[in-house]
Amino acid sequence: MSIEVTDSAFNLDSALAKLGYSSAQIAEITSSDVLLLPEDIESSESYFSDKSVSIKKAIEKQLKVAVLTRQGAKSHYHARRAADIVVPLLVFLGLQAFDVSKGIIASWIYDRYLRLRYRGRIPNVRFTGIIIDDKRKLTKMVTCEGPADKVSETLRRSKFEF
Amino acid sequence: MSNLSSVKPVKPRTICRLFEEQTRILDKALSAAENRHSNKAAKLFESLAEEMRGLDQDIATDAASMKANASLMMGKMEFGRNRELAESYLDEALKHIDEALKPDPYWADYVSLEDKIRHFVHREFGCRIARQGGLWRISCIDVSNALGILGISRSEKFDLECSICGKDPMFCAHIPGEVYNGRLALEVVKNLEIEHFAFMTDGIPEERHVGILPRPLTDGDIKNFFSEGRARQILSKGEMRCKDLIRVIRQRRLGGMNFVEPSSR
Repeated sequence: MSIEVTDSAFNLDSALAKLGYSSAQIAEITSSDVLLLPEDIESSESYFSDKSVSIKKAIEKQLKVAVLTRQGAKSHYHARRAADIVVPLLVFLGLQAFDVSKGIIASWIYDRYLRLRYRGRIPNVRFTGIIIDDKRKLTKMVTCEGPADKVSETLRRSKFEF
Repeated sequence: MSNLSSVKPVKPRTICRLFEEQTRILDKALSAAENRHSNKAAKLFESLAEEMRGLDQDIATDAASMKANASLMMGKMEFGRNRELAESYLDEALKHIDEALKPDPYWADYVSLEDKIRHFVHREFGCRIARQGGLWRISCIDVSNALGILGISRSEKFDLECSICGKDPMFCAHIPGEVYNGRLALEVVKNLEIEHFAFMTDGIPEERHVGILPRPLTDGDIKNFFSEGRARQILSKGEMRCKDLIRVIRQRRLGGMNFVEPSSR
């Protein structure tokens, strides 16, 4: 079990523009530590995974989280009631924000693992995060997929240096 | 998992509006319950409920919570000596707590009490499966799980509303599961649209209390599954408990698609 780190072409400014944010709003948003994105930024309304609320509330105990939505449109939720755990897409503004969040996300995954493990079967988990580090001019995508207990442990122990 | 001794009576939601005499009765009742004087506690809760009925509409409705406490105490008292009677008291407690929850469905103490009693009753007695029209219709998902019936996953769209402030919980400060001024914060689903269902052949369903119920059983099934004597008892009574069925399913390792499709017998 390992975490894959690749270069990412994700462009925050373009994503925010697509969602209809003004420059004043963008300045406020980029002062956050973590951004929670809707499932599809091209969609006319914003849809979030039903897990977004609990992960957002867990992270915001320690960091400033901004939820990005299509401006002027309603937000809704989407759920697929299967046991595979898909962590909502998160953008970390700075390596430090990711460093703090990964422990929280690992605990969140482990908590779901405890609830969902069933008759010896272990739920699968997929985590994708984007780290934008303006100081180092880096945008990296971090992915990790596998049995929930292993992903949780790997994420918790992971250490990144770019 | 709760056992009955850990299920405590609740204080009424309208406690702040009770008169001194009534709070005195409440204190005595709670103290009697704490000291396991169940009969005395039940009588005191009953008398408090009577007093509350004479007050304004909201308090009168809330009297049901004290009736629930009284039934709970009677259920506790009877549990060791007459299980059937204990079950009927606990069923009664559930009815009263349902009534007390009507004005405020998220009152945390009542939600918790209801949940504890419901779980206890199901675990201890099992739900009733009665023969109707010659068939035994099963509405207990635990039986499906014991039979290994495929789980379902479903894709759905919905809105969420915080039970405390009514806003989208993503944008409010309330934490689901926490209690605020006595009320439980929950994510309340609104405008639900189910997009599709899928059968899960090897995955794990996220919600194990939602699934496919087994086909109705026939008298022939009962005869096949249970020993001759036990089957005779069940057939003559016209009733069994999910626990009995689950036990025999596990002993005889029953399961398979035969329990999902309509019976051809």
